[in-house]
Amino acid sequence: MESVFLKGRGTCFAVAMALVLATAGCATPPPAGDPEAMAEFIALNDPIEPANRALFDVHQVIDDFVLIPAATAYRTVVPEAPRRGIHNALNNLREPVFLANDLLQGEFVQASIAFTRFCVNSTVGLLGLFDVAAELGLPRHKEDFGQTLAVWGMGEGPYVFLPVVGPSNPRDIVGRLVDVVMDPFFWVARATDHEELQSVQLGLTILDERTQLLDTLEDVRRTSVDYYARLREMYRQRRDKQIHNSGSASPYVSISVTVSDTASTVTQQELSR
Amino acid sequence: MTFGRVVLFLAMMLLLAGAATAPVAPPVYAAQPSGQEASSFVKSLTDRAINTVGAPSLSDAEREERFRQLFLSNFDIEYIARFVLGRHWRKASVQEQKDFVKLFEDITVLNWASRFKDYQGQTLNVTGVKPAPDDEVFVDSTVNQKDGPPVMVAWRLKQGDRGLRVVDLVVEGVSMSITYRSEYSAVLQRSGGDIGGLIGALRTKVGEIRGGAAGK
Repeated sequence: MESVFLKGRGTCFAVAMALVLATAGCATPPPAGDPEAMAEFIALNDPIEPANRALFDVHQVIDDFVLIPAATAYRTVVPEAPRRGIHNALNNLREPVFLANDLLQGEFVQASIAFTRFCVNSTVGLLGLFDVAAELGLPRHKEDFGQTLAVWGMGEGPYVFLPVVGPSNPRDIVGRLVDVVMDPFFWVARATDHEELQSVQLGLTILDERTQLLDTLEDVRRTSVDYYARLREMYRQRRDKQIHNSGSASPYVSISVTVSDTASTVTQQELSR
Repeated sequence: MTFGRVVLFLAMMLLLAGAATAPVAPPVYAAQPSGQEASSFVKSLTDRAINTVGAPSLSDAEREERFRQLFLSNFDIEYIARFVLGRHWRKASVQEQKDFVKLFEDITVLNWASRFKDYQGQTLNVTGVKPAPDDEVFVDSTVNQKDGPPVMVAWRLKQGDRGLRVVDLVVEGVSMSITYRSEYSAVLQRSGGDIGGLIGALRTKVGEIRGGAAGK
């Protein structure tokens, strides 16, 4: 009964989202006579911007009334040590997913590190509560299936903003779904009829991730004149960096910027790989 | 052909061959700052920032003032502002350009100064220096936090008339300049390229940040 009810709610949610998308529509491209504006429009890669902004507004309401108060309460009430323990344990559960994606991307050194991390942290680290492996010089390295698809050559597709999930795109949405079924914990929970454990995992993950981002996102929101646009750009750059796993902190090996008053200003970024 | 002429001919051929192979050698930039220079610039700047701006006893106003001084003498704010505004810079009047640079300075200073409250105990390690064209150099660094994983920060420095200046900061792969540029161009796009509108929005924002800080 309960699962039917949940499915029903899921359908309602999907229909509501579809309605938002349908009513909000697509972004209007700039006139063809303005090549610079057109180049900018293409670079922003957000053809369904009005729909995305509508979904962003929905997210803001959820964020203000549910996620931020919950994360703030969590940070206030629960001391740092147990919060870190939960953060570590959640990530340890996902380590097999990181491992699988390392393998799929041909990152064999990273894969062996992920494997060692999972073994060490699950045992000596008391079911992942302590990140012992990081202290031994094997830091966490997250790989998801969205990144795997990118490494395989799939483009990101148009920008999509989803409530609660946040900034994304078709490639990363598919990636997230595949990551769920790649997760051994998902199958263990199902096989042992403890599907509620998945909800606990999901709930704690959302809480943990939102808590980690409390200060950063507050700063971004406080200082931006267009919070939506700032997040869109930050997401794109962060993902590029994650996909290319560059050891260097700078995103470009060369950047050519023309700042003269007459020439058109063009940024050429070459990602260092 | 005399022997002398043959020697001359051979010498010329050698010179030509030398000229032809020269571009293959790694490029040397005229006013390129040395790696040592760039690396110590970044180290000394962060030391001063953490020690003078991060002092816990400071009031918000004092912290803002100290950060502003450090920022203005080490960042090329006008260069950054021009990049951020991009093609819209050309269309702006001189007054609009001035207003934008000032507001952009305010918003950056207000944003960062408050962050230095919790920067005590952080240390910076330079991990690499890469030369780039146009008298520029990238300094890669990691900032080690008291708790949490180290943060990767890249500094883009430019050699100008008044010495080295920071022209971009890239934190965990996110470039400050490119992010501001994308955000402001979205604002301008939505207002049909009205720079006065962007300046108005920034002015309101600076007021809000100041008001919020005073209210705390």
